[in-house]
Amino acid sequence: MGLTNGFAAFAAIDETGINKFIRNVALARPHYLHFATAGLGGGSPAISLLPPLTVPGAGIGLQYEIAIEQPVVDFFPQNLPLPGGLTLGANQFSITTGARICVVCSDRLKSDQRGGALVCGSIKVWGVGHPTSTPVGSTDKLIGLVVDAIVIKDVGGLEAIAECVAKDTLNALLLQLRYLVKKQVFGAFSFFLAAGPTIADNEIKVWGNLS
Amino acid sequence: MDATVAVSESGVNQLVQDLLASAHFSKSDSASWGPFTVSYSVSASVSGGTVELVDTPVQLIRVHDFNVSASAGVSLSFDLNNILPQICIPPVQICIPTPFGDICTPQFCISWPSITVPLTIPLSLNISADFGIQVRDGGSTWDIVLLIFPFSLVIDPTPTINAILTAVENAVDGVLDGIPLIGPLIADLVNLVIGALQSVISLIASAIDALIHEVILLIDIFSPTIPVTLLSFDKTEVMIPASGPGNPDVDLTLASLTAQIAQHELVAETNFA
Repeated sequence: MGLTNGFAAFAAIDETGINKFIRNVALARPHYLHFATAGLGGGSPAISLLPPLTVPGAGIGLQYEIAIEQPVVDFFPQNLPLPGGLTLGANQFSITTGARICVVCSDRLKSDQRGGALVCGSIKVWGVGHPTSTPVGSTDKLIGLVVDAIVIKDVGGLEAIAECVAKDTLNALLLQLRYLVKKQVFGAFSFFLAAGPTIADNEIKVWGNLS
Repeated sequence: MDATVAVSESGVNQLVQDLLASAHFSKSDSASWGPFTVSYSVSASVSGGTVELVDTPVQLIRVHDFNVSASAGVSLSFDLNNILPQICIPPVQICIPTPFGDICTPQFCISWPSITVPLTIPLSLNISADFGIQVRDGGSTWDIVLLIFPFSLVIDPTPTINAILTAVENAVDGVLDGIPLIGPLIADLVNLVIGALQSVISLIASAIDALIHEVILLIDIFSPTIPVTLLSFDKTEVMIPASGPGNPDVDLTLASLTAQIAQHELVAETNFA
């Protein structure tokens, strides 16, 4: 049966290939991973713009930035370590990343340069999810990844809140990385997705027929 | 390897059929043999066949029973005066000299016409061929190409010879039938033409068959020196298309490509830059 498994064609990208793709996304569109308010450079080609948060009671807008580490994807079976509470099962992927969050502290700003007023902290994020396929029109499909569970360590009582925000942020990022499987696979032949995507053998796999 | 693409035997068969849809060629030539001038044009196309993927260590694509369809349009011209003897009725003319010039008995001599015989000779043969696979750098693409292994193409000239002889016989018979007073001679006269033609018919048929041969081998897929691209992979694959300022294409670059036949599948593997 080989790789095609009864279909005319098969295509797969392994975790190294996916991580090269994510690297290229970070290089071509750095603003997918870097967010800040206008005061910290947000709204530039490299940094997406975030609105300031209103500091309760103070009536001032909090300037802040979030820089997400380039995520690393691991397809089942597991090759990268995961924290307790997360396990990588069949047809799943893990994603490991982190974020550096900085805010401009108004108290320090009064007596210091802006650089010194920046208060930063880092978190490490692990997620586990599954592949998705979304029809686009009658023949084309977007394939992608979506995170189902996430773990963030060492944020104390804010863990649940941080995990909720991080999951939404990661899924928003992954939504933008979906690949449209349509008439061509690497420009080589007309391909219509018939089965998959499925994760196995450290790869994400699809099967299809030729037009 | 960062990515793998595999195509099944039936998938490769489909790709080969797409390739054959554009596999055709035509050519024309002309030559003279004795009193016969022959101009001929040949067109050939290929269709059908079934693909077998032969695994390691042979590593080849075998196509069983290609149908090669060729058609030779032949126009054979000759002047009967160069073949047939002069015939006069009556055969002897008697002339009597007089002071006013010669006075002769009436005689009618036939002026033989020129004849052009058009005919179409169809040819259909099934052949099987083996192709090796190679990966070639096509500049902006990685190409998986087929290169045919040497094969023999035998064309039986008998149908060509028979078709020409029959067409010429019918044409000459028809022309002579319209000439008055030679009814009893027609069979012999036709035999004279056929006799003359038979001395060169093998050469004519060989020339036509050689052109058919040449035309078939001019079809790229049958050329042992011209690689035919079966699959062409873009070296730069746009994974996410550009969507305005600040959102350029996100590409993957195929730094290398390998291809092999494994488990009756054509398997290509690539590493991204």
